[in-house]
Amino acid sequence: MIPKAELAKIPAFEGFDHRARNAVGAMLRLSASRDSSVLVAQGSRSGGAYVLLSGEARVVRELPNGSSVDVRTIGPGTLFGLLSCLDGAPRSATVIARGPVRLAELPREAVTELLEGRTTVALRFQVAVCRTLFREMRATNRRLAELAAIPDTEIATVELEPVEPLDDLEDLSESLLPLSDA
Amino acid sequence: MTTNADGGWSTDPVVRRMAEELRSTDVFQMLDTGEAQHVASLCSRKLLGPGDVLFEEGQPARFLFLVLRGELQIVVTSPAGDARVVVGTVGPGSLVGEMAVLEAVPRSASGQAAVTCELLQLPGRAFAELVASAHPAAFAILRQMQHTLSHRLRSLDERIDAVLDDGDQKPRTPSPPPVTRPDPEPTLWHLIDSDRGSRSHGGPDDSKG
Repeated sequence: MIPKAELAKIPAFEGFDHRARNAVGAMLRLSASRDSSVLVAQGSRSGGAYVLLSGEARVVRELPNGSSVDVRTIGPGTLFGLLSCLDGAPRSATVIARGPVRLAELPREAVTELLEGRTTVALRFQVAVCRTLFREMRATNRRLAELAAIPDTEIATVELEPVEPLDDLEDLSESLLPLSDA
Repeated sequence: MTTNADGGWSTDPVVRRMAEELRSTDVFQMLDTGEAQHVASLCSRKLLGPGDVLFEEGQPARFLFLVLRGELQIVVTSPAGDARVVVGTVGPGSLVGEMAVLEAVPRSASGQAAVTCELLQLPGRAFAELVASAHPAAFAILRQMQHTLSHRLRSLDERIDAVLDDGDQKPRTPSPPPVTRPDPEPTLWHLIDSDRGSRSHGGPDDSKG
């Protein structure tokens, strides 16, 4: 079982109280991997979600033309491998250890149980999942914008007319049709 | 609190109407009338014309929104600042702007009405309280967020593939991305615990709600 002091340092479990942390901690399985080990393979459906306890790992997207691109590099405390657990589809990227790493795996059935649960522990885990996915999306959004800035790429860019932000959107409610009694 | 024949408690027709609108969406369909009315009592309504900006990239996030009618474009600015890229659109029944509220961070993208839009807005503080009280609406919102985020991440991957996998041309790989570590940034939990009067931000979505 993962040491409590180490568990307390995992940002994904921030906001967890003692009980919630213990409950999730009891489900985690520890492991260690060497440099260049494939921690998660794109296209695979096996495994659960993982927390990188120490070390770094590259998140690599393998492209249909056979080449690959680094999407991001993750550091200690990062929760990863969630997407496939959520939608049941194959892994969207390969994660490769950069140097030796220590991992904690949350088995898929435990992830499912927490995602579908209605307890306070489950709720906190669901918040952590959303926060993690949100950060991934932010990083991916930045990556897409970066790629869009490279000439000759085929990404669609849309020129938008500059629009002044509205000072007080509440005023717009006056333009709504009167509400009928429900 | 006394409930009515329909299981609700509110006699306010605006709240009752909003509650029914909430329950008509996939996100909130599992709320009972009373639960939906509680959420409705925390919401206010917005109407946007084509091109109106609901929130701006980089601005503080104070509200999350539920699109009732119309379509919003989610737009990000390129790092060089010379292109605005539509990274997605959201339509009726979709939550929008909820991620930045969850993280209490500035908006990562702008939201702009593609056509006339009608929305309900829920203050971030109210959402935090729904989470703190484990209200069924909090589970509903988080579940939808997970669904939306997974879908968007898959779509973004495909778009990156499309940009880089352009046949004969060698894939372009920009500078390696920096290491990302989870930041000890202000989060929902801080929002719940913080001094209620201490956060005062301006911004397009910072209406007097």
